[in-house]
Amino acid sequence: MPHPSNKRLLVEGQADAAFFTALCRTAGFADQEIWIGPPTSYFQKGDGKGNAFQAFEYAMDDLRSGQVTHLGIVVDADFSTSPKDGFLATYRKIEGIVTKFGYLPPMSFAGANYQGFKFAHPKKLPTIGAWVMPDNFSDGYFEHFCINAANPAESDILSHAKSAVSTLKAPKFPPHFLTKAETATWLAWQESPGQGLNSLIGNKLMDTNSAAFKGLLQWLTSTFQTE
Amino acid sequence: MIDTLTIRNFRLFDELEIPRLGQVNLIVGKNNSGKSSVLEALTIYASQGEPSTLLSILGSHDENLRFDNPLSGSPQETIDSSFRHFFPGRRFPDADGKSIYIGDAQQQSYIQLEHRLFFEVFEEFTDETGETLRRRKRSPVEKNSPDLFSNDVHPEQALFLSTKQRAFWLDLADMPMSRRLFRSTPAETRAIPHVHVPTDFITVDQLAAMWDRAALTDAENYLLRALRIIEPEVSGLAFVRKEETLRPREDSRSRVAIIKLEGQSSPIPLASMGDGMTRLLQLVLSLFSAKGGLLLLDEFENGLHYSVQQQAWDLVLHLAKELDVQVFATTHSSDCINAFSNSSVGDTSTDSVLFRLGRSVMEGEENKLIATLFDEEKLGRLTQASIEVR
Repeated sequence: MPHPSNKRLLVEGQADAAFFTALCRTAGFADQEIWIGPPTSYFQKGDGKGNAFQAFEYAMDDLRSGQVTHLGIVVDADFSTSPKDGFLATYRKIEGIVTKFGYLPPMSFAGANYQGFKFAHPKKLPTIGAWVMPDNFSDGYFEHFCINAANPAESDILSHAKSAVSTLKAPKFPPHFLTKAETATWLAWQESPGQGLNSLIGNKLMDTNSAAFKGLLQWLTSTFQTE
Repeated sequence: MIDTLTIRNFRLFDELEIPRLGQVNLIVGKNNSGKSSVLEALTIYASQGEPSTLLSILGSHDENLRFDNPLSGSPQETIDSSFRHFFPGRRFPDADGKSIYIGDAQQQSYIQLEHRLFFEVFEEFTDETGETLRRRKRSPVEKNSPDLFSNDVHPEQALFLSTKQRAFWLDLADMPMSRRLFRSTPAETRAIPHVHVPTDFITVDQLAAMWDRAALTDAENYLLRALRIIEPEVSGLAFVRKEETLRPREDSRSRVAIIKLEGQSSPIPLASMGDGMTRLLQLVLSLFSAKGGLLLLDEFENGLHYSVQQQAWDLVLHLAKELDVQVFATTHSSDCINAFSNSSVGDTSTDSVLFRLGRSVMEGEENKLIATLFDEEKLGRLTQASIEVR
């Protein structure tokens, strides 16, 4: 069934979508009040980030008609191993999309760290929210954010996971995926092993008082609650 | 083929810009968003302002009804103001310059309708035999002219129609419809071939007339192919004169469509097979009648179960390209949108576009009707992901 919600949050894949579904609940949004996508069926071609950008651009097209009233995007900065990746390239990509629709870029990056970005429209179209993982400043992935915001009670198991990953003699994953491997290992050793990123919230594995978590929650609330 | 469409000051539209059109175009939008008005605008454009087309559009909404006040002595009451329904707010504009414009900016092709005031003056001239004759001449007057300030001045009213090729006046002075039609200049030679298929079914006699031009041509094969979408056993189609046994004189001029089914010795009436068969017949006959021009379809899905809509679209996309027909259809149905999307993704050789009409929320243009475009790629990806485009 086509989703009727005109509040749309674009993310890179199903793992991220599950995390944000849980975060929306924490922020007090009703189930499905915010459409979090694109869905799996959208990912039959292209990479997650590219799909998120495309779905974001399509949603931008619906702002003028009011079909979309609230819009946000969360993507990984990735690492600057190619010209299209890294924090700055990722931010520029988002900025390029929104300015094409007449939006204004923020005056400076100051304060974006753990606050996210907001793009305003001079003719009062809805303000757009963007968050570049992990912290709107550094290169990296969603998993960096998760580890940065880990509950202190998890420090033992997390450092054990990190050291286990680091002692692998011949890791199959490339070096820039180290944090993804550490997060997966951390989650593999929980009460119910191998759950997704959404379990970070459900199982209280995150420090809800950390600057990272509070910042993301505040960004989500302000992006989707404004009238 | 129309590449872009601009509609100004027509019905609900102040200014609608559609920057890209396809060979096949599906128009969606809420009620009162102007879907049918786009089809009407295209009909007027295709007819190049042919007066009988304008009157037929008004008649289809009963907008040719007269509400004159018989007790009023105002000379204004003698004006047929039906055409005001074409203008925003159903009023002739108070000032000059607010003309209806329907056109393709890229091809610089257009039709413009302007409501004008004029005085009728008579000019004397001498013909070649030396005889003095009088001829009627219109002397246009600006709507804000000081000449109109006096209560005793009652200018005539007319529509001034102009296209890239010609310009002509359509008087609004009260006169019998037959006389007005007689006075209108036939424009068939300049018009683009077009067929408008309304929400309800067109009459069997109209279908029969189209059939007479299609029988024993390639069209007949496509007709059978279309009918087999619903009934695979169809092997033949014909139109025959209706013979009522009880009341032979009633509908004596009407014809009826009959079909032959494999394995059955005698034909059966097409109408007995349900609305879907008639709709498919109507679609294909209309496509052939619109060859080289425009086909305008109101509510594509009418009579068609969702399970056959994709095959119907497949056929329309194929024939549109084959016959060089530009198709514009409207729908409210998400099944119809999905079927259209699947067909357009499957048939990349026919350029298909969906546009949604809606009202702007942007400051400075609040409530203005705007079009949001969905090309094949965008439409395919969004419908695949179950994202609503209606």
